[in-house]
Amino acid sequence: MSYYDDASLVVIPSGYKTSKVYAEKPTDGSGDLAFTRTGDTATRVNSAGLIEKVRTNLILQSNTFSTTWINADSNETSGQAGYDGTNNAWRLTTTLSGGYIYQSVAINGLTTFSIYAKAGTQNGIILYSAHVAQGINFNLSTGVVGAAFVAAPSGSRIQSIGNGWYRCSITVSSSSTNVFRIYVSDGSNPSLGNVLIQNSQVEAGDVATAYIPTTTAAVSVGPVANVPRLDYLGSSCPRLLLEPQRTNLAIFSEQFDNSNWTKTNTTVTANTTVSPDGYTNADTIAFTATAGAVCQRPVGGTYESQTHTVSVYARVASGTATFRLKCTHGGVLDYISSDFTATTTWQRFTFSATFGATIGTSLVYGVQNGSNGTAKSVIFYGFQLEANASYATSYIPTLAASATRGGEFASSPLNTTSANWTLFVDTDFVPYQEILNLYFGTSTGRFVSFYQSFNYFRIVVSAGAGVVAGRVMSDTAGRKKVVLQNDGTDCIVFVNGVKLGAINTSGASPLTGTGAASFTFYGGGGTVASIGKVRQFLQFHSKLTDAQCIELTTL
Amino acid sequence: MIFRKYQFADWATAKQAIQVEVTTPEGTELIWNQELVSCVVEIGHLCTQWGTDGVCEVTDPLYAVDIVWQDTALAAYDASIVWPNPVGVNSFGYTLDTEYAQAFCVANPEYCQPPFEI
Repeated sequence: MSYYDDASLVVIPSGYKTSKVYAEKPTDGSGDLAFTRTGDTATRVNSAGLIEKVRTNLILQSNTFSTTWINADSNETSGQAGYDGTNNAWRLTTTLSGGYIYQSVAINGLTTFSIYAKAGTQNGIILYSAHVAQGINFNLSTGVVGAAFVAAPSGSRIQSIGNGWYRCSITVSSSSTNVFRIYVSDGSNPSLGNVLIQNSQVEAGDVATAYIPTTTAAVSVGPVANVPRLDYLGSSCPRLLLEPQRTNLAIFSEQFDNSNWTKTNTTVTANTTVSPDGYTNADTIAFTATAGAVCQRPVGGTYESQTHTVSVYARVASGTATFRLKCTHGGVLDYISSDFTATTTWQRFTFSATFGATIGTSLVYGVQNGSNGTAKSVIFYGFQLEANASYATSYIPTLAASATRGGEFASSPLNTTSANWTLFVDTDFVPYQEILNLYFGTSTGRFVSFYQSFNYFRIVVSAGAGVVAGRVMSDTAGRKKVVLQNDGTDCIVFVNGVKLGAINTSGASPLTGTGAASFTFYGGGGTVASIGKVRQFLQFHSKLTDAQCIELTTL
Repeated sequence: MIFRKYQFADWATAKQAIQVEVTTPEGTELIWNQELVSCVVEIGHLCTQWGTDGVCEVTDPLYAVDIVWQDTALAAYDASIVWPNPVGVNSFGYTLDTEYAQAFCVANPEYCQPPFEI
């Protein structure tokens, strides 16, 4: 028997687009999973093993400087040899000393403006932000950041990319809108002359990321709203990641140098090291020789009688070093983790703290020196605080505000009028907390839950008024291949090659799945939390034999 | 979708308008009505005055909530809308934050003037 041939629906997460995960079978689209997730705040681990975030280039006509951009005693000529082997660069020429080209951009908060540039008749450019009147010179001959123009921006960087080309960037603050200018410079001041420019970018954050071309509108790339996440964490095969709604309450999650983080006996150096996202945006925190050395921040709210989880990526430049995570109930009790050991490999460290019933004043989160209290440096990236959550979900980057990733739902028609059907799900579970749900019909209808509770992997069938019955197995962690077989009376369950038994559903609405019924994998909702990683999903319009179910589910 | 920010004196009562009851393996529970809302973030009582050592000395008596509406914001909630400078204390990323900022600029046009250009 070929399971592929007999299956009416085959989903192996690989092809996707906004709001859809394609089914391999049928190919007419009727079996595709409809997918939803609110917000542009999600991340995934891509096929290169890097954390992939949503990135947006906010500047318009990013490489068409004759449109939208405004000349102030300057002009531009297209068709110049660019850094990328094309003739898409532009010559920017000033007609009066002090001339420039500029564009107004709607943006708030920490902002990085970048452009590729090469010397022309002049050896320099000035990148300038009008919001708080900050600019700086870049020497396109020596590849050095030069003198400030008016006032220095909070960050500046020049990177050689060969053949005389450099990528120059400044990091500034913006409020509502900002105006970004490009001057031709003699190395110190705006001047007459020309330089070559190409591929501008304005983005949130404190580093310039890979260039994103734009025309008449801002362009976002990465796991934007409603784009399914095919996640490669710990696997060379992608899995459909389904997570509940979560908020990262830790602001400036990658900018430990920001003044919102309170440093006690610590010194932070920004952007020292290539982070798990592939950019040089991880910060080094030097702890002085005291166990109380800490980099922390409080957040207001009501946290008593709940479990909260903090997480952070950490490594060291050489050897090993210990540090701890802090998740303290403000005004009540310190909750500080045991020592974690950072190595030269990036690892994500997680600490959960369950607060008592005493009413506190805040939650204080941060990274603290190891209990040995020796002086050391540890490199950190991506701090996350998830309140009222007993486990960490995938990273949600933040800047000046907390960020929320909506829960994820993937739905498809059940597509059968028969009471006899079989569902097969191949999925990964992280120990102890995860759940994957199949809804049949509306959210008030019948559903099957795969979840873990009290160290048991559980499958529960509910129908209308309540739970019908459940099956459990004590193996909680890791990969689960599950078959649910329905005949209108019983729902028979197989997990990892074992027949767990039949759940009699005849006492309530059976799982007939007739007509327009549908099922939904979901990553959260109500008080039920989940992480599901779906490798494969099959649906059959018939019952399989026990032997077939065992074969299909054997790992 | 529409992203709006609210503060309620009685959130426990107000939120009933956007909840529905469902049955789960753990029993009956209330969830957000997905026909009305896409996402609700219960931010809670914001700290308005910090003391030392991370102690919040004064909290806002109103309960802050961010709501992403599917199509139309509930008119009954209009009286509770607040307009912190974009994007307030909680973000949903570029698209929804931009939607909020544009609405904010309509309500607060003086905020959205570009910097003076020479």
